[in-house]
Amino acid sequence: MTDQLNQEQKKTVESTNDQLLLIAGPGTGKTKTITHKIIHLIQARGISPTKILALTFTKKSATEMRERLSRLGLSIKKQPFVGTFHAFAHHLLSTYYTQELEIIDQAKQLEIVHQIEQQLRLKVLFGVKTHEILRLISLQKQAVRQKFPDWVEIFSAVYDQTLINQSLLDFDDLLIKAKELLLNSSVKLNFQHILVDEFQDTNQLQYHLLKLLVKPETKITVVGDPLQSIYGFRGSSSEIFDTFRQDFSPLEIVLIDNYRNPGQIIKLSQSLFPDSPVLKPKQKNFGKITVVETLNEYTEADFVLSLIEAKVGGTNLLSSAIREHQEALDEQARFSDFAVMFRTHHLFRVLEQKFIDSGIPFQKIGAQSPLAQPEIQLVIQELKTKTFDKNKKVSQLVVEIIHKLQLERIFKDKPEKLKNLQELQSLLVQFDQGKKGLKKALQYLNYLESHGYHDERADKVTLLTMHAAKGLEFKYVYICGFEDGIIPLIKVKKEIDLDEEKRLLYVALTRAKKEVYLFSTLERHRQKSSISQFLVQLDQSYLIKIIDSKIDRVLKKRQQKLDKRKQSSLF
Amino acid sequence: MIVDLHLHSKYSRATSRDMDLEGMYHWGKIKGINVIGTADFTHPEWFSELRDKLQPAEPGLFKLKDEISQKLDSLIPESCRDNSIRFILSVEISNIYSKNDRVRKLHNLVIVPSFEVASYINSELNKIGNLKADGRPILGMDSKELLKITLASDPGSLFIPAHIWTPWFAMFGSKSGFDSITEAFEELTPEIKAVETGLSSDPFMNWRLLELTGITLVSNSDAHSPRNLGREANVINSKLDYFDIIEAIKTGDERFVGTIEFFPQEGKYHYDGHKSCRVSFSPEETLKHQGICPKCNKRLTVGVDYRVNELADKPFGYRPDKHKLVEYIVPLAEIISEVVGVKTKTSPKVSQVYDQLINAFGDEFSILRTIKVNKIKNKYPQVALAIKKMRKRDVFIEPGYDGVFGVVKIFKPGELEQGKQLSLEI
Repeated sequence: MTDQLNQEQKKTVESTNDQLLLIAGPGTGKTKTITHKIIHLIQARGISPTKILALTFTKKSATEMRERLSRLGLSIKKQPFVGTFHAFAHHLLSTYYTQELEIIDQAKQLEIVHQIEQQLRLKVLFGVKTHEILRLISLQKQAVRQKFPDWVEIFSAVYDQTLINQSLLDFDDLLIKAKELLLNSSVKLNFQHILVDEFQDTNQLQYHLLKLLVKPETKITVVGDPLQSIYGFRGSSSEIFDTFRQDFSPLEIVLIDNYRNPGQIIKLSQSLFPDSPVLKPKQKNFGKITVVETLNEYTEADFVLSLIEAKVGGTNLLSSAIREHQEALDEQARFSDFAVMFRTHHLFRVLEQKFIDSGIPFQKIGAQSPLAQPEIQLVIQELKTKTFDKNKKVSQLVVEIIHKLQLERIFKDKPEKLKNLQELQSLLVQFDQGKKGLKKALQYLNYLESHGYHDERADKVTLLTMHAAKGLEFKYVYICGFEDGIIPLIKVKKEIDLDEEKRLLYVALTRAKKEVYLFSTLERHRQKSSISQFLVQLDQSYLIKIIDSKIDRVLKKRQQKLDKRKQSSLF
Repeated sequence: MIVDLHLHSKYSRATSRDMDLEGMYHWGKIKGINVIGTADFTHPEWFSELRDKLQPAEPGLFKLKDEISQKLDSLIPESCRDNSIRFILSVEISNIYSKNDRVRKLHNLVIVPSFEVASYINSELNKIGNLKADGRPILGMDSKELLKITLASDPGSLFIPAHIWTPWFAMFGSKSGFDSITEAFEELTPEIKAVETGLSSDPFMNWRLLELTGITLVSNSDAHSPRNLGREANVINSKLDYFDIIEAIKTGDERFVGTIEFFPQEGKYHYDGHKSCRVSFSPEETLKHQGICPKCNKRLTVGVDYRVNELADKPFGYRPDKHKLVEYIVPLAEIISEVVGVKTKTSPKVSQVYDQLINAFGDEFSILRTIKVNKIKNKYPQVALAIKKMRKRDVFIEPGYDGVFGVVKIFKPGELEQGKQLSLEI
């Protein structure tokens, strides 16, 4: 089985060293290597799966790893524990803890934080977002070494007490309780081998937990990429690698063969970090990196859409017939081959609207579904909580609720909201037939909600933040807002970690299997903008630079308008 | 009964603002169509409008609410006022997806018997993509999945691959289609009971494919403005009942009489060529140039004629022993514009004659298809002659290519001037 591995991968799999640090850059076959190592430990070394622990950072990568193990012939039953730190902590607590556990999600956390805000009414918190308060509480709980504003301590104390009073645990508590359990009790866990994936994302608390799990007889393999450490705001840090080196003096192996990215894209990405190990491209194609200068967020969105149209050969008759595009048609391209990225969520507004108008199917990672909109939720809540005449049809009930809540009047100046209500009706009319229509309608709405409104038959363009892109890959990557203040992101009153911002750009660039576009505007949100300071750090020889022809056209029109106004004011 | 199932509402891209129920009703009567697709039922606003303005009529069919139709009727020429109009819920979906490593773009029609079933389909498709942007939504989903959803929605629902030969968005399209139904729909191929031939092809061309034997060939207008309603249509002799109409189409039995056709050469994609280079080639010429445009050296847009030749099993001109009625028409406005000698069929001169003819002789289909030309000839000798020639298929056509409509000429140079005289011999 190991003959499918390259030299370094094979070395990692077969190494008998007690402590191993694998540095694995993008597209170097990290998951492949770990899964092969697990198989090797079980099949060649005869280690019982129960004595192996594989920890990941996200649920998604845990699922992927389990699927991969199954494909390699290790059925789910014979697999070791593969899961996130939190899943493992939860597993520990539910095995050894006698108390009933209720774990709360972020929505509930925010609700509690909001309540405390109302109670405390701290002046210093004026203008601080609930999300931000929660983030700082979490960092404090993780014992991250940084200076916190004075109020955090008080707030955290109240927050923790609230949780204790209601016997609730948040995600950080899971780790803290697990740590306490390992420190105090007679819990005997003797793993022979622990493997940790995405090590760069490990925070202090998780690392402590890990150290407690490593017994003298335990071997440990950690895998990660310091260049992809982008979760500083959640308490992880690329320095974790040095800490590990100090604590364990591991054997280090570096995977250098990159199988994902075209040569030019690797070289370009790596030019951001001249001192790091050089990746060797294994792909035959060179790839293409284009920097586009455009006028504003509107022309930027138009450009992105026209590129996608050109690649798939048009989505309607008008665009199909246009052959003026410089872009080569990709006869194999599908919508899911495209990713459009911004540094932060709030920059997507115009792009998202343009996508909606275009009709091109897309999904925005982390966005609310239209059905989660307040006007829809109001109706759904009524449907869920009130009792109705059983003889009435569902569509009739919806009309009545809309009428009763006066939604048409409230939203009379917001056609989008009214359209959402129409959409809800067009989805629910089907339940007018037969009995128990309302019950079925509610089941359907619950189903949509619980599936995150996602359908696997759907092929869509992905809109996502650079953070959300980690671990994913796309043929075509369009990075918007490649501008100072955005990449790197500058926030008022906040320290800026330039290195982390650069790593974030690195992560974004290395998602591309074929082409990358970087967009910068001359004005964004009606303010002057300029291209990212990272541009000069990129190796210029790989960049194609183009200027959007729309700039001239739009500016000319603007000038004409101005002239006209001047003229008319003369008379 | 004349049935036109594929058109678009004002909520579709590049569609006239007059394509609302009122416009469809008005022009449906003037054209002489009996059953019209509503189009675009996936669009939430249109869906809501349909529910507001339509009321159930015969099983699975809908009619405009009386208070609306009464108002409209007063504006419709008396000669057509008594025509009845029924609506059928329908939609066209643009499926764009990748299969066997190539991007595929297919347009498909879905026709359903009730608002409940339409709502079910909307709820399924809403998970796949954005239904609000376009009355003909673009979905990143395999056509086969859409077929599955249609089949699951109701036994009475019908799925029809649309204008199957057009290059860009069709099952057999040269640019992004398939080479066979089986390649597209696999084990569900038997569920494809009908295909739409589209403006650029006619039954003669489709008969040449063995795979289409036993599949009903339907024709619809795909109109984006009310005046284009019924430029192609189906003649169905069934009960006025959704389920009987759909059964007629599915089985292709004697209830399905045949189709009324555009001359296929008049369609926008009959020949091959490049619009911007003004190059128009017959399949033979295209072959000679190896598919490359002599002006710009890029690939020619290969039209329907070429594509049929490529996939055909039977020779040109093949005609099965038993087949459905095939009737060709040239829209009345086009006939008039040739007769009065203006280029645009929307000119006031044309409209004037058109209105006169409709007022005097009834709806357009009756004039084109059934009225004895003798009736028209006294007052409109040239129109009468033109209709006679059209019915005999005695016309000349400059074929359409790469999005350019073909041009039909009924009269040879000089023939029209003699029209008055000739007409006396009718």
